[in-house]
Amino acid sequence: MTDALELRDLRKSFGPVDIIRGVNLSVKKGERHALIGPNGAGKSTLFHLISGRITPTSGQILFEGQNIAGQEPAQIVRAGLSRSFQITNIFPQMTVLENLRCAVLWKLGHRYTFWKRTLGLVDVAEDCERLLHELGLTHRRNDTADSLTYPEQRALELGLAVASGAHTLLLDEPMAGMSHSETEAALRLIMRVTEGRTLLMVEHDMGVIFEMADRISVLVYGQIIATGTPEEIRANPAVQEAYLGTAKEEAA
Amino acid sequence: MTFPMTDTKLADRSAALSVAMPVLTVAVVLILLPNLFGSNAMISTLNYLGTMAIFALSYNVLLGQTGLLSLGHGTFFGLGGFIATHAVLRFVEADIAFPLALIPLIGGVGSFALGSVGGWLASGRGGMPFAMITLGLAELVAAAATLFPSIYGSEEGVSMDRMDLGSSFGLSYGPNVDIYWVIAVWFAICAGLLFFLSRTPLGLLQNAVRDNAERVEFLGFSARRVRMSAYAIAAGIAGVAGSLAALNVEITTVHALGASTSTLVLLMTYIGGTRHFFGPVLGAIVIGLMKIWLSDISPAWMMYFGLMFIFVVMVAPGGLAGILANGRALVRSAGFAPQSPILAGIAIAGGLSVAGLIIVIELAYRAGLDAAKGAEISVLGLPLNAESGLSWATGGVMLIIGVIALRPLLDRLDGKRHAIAQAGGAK
Amino acid sequence: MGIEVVTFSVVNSILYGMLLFLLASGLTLIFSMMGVLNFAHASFFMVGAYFGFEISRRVGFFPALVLAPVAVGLLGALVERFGLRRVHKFGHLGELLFTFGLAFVIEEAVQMIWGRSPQDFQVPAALNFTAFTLFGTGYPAFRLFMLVVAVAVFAALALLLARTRIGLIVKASLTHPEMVSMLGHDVPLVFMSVFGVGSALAGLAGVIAGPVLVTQPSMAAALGPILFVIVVVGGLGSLAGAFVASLLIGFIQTFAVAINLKVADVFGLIGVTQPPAAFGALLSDIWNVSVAQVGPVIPYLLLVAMLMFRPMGLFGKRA
Repeated sequence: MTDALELRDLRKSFGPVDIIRGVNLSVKKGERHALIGPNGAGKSTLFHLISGRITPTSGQILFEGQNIAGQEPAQIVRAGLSRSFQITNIFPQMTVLENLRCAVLWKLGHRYTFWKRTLGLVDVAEDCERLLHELGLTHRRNDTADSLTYPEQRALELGLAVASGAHTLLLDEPMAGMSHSETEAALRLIMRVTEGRTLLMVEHDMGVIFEMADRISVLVYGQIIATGTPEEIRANPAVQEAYLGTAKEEAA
Repeated sequence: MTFPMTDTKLADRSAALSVAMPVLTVAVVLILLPNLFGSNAMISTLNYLGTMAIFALSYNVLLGQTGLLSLGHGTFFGLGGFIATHAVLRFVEADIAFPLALIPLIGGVGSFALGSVGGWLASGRGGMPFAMITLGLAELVAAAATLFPSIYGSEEGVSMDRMDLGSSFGLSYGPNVDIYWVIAVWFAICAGLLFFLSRTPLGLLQNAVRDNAERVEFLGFSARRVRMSAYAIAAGIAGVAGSLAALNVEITTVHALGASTSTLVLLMTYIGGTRHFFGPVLGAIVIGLMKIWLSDISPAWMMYFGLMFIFVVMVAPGGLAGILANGRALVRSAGFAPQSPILAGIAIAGGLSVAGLIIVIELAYRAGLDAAKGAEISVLGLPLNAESGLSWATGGVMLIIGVIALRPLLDRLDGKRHAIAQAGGAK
Repeated sequence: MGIEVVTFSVVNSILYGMLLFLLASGLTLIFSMMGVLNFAHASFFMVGAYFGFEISRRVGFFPALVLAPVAVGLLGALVERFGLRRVHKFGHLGELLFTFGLAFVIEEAVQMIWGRSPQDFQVPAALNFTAFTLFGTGYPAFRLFMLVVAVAVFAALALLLARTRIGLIVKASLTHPEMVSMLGHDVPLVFMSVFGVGSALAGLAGVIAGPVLVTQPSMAAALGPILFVIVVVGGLGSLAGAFVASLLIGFIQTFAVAINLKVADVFGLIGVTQPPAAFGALLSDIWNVSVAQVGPVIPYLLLVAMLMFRPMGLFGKRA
């Protein structure tokens, strides 16, 4: 069985600065894979490389066996790999429902249709209803996205990534900036809407990661220093030194 | 016998009604207008406003719907006019009885094709690069046009006689009112098409590109293709408008595709309001009428357009349509009665400052550009003199008092609204 | 084309190119620091010429050379403080529309005050002589003076950027626009100063160009689009790109006027003296096109070509 996602010796440098220095990583089909690492390790850059926002300097990104390195974001999404953003990236002046409609159009084959009314598309309406319900946004459907509360905006952000129908999702700090109780609710939401899909996520909340991840990879200074189950990562001395160790010092 | 009516049927029916009402209203207005304003001068004014309304609607596909600022939309208005003019001339030459009323279709399709090429070049990026590139393309076409006098004519333009194609659809196209009916039908067609477009998936995606082009890419779409589609569609409809203008005045010059046309449509559309479907139509009517009437009585009419535009950009980005909508909502709200004395004060202070500004501007024109006409001038019914300090002081004092009075009034209005909102929240 | 025409055209090209760069550098600076493309930039150039004309007929050209740019700079700072800053909340579209409306109003205001006809802005007597004579043709000293001023400003700017703290901030913001927001202290003041200085540079260009180009209300509209071509061709936000593109446009436009050649002449070389009648009126149009006529079109063709083959511009990093 091929992996859902495999990175082979991926590198990215900005001028003389090497940010990603030969990353090798494989994400199995259907697993929840967490990417952790100290600030500045290159986690966001890695996500930008995989999702096509920036092009790698060298190396391969295999998505279901196909090299997608250097492809446009739209091509990558169509292939079945979509993402959410750390900084909320939605359509602020459109309603929640319109946000979701945009996200399901490609998957349902309507693309750039200009000869049919959006409201007349039954499949779009049904899919959006289902998503609204799953995201818990049914009561906000006709409100503009910029009028939502922060956790609601984060839910919509997640919703846009899920709605595109991709079976592999990159989630960039989905709980960023949330309180403890909000994090709990967001965790349950993510588990619910990503059921049966492959997940690669960056997150800072260790509690969340050790609770939900099947496997964890640790990125330090542009390289993966360890990959394994939560127990293995907890026990790994290199990780403790490079990452958890510094975290303890910070806490102390 | 009665049928049980389900919710969805009710919803369908109200949706059908909400579409039918504006359609009926537009149709009735279009039919009534020439009967209410029958004079030849009024009909030709209506014809001008009609072409401008179509033109402004086309521009709003870019500005309001897709969030793209084009500084070269006049190009397609002008090109449409030339295509239509040459089409008429060729058909007459070849002795083909092509119905004149369908000539705008040729102008529209031709502009759409040219717009697809231009759109491919301009649509790579939105925002400022788009604005600069559209300006560059427009300058390219305008500069190149002077090289081809056989297509674009020289200074005097290319003219034709719209009656040469003979009559069709029961119209001889001699009297202006015949052209009015052509313009009215094309207005209904174009407005209908564009309204439908705004309700389709492509229209939705255009809104999405306006809001956040990057995220559109991450949903599987090409923002460039969405921009291109908007550009080509806008160009096509502008071509129809340009063709109608050519049929109306029977002459097209290179000025039609120049910078002044592009600027005019931007002013009309933005002042009218980009966020309401009929805002651009309102803008075309208001600015069009001002252009026709104000240019007769004041040399400063362009200055007033510019100041109006800056006012809308800085204070009321919703344009006239936005102001009307907000005003209607305000009058209907419970908080209107307690606010009304302050609102009246604001209206008086605002009116005073505008009157003062007009006096100063008119005096300045008379002292500068129009000094040859003599210093005596009548502004807003007041006999003034551009060389008299008293005249200048009158305008200046009105302006200053108005502006000084506005600030505390606006603060009080904010305070009042805050109090009303809090009282509402406490209940 | 004789050697003397080539020599003078080269000098004029550099002169015109440097003048364009004086304008393009201010535009690039404002764009890089504030993210605002100032459509009224050429209008400040025009206001500079008119202020220069007004001041020099009262107190002389050399005081005007200093006072007019300062006045234009102040005007720019006021525009930023009371206009641009307020529309900032409406995003880039609001800012673009504001500067566009401003350009419109400035053109009208200039007509309101000075009328529609060109002003008699004379070369100052002290510089009204022949600088040197080459191949029997004299070169006016004032043009040389323009060149000196433009090069001096260029050198001063380069020094400022390389040696001072403000220069460092500006340079950093050219390569990392997002950095400006992290300056921390007094971003509004920095913005106002940048806008003011950029406007003053445009004003200075106006004062020295006023007596040579014609000082009239259409001079802003004539130059504005060329500036945008320069900024796009050079690469948005690149000073080096703006410099190269300015000189390029300077050469193209100067030589286009100097070359006295028609399409018909080219065909004449190969013995064809009449356009083949079969191709009709369009071909006879092309037949009669001269290089001088094509001159105004070339910058825009360059723009289109650049968009097709290198959308990030000559020196741009951002596509």
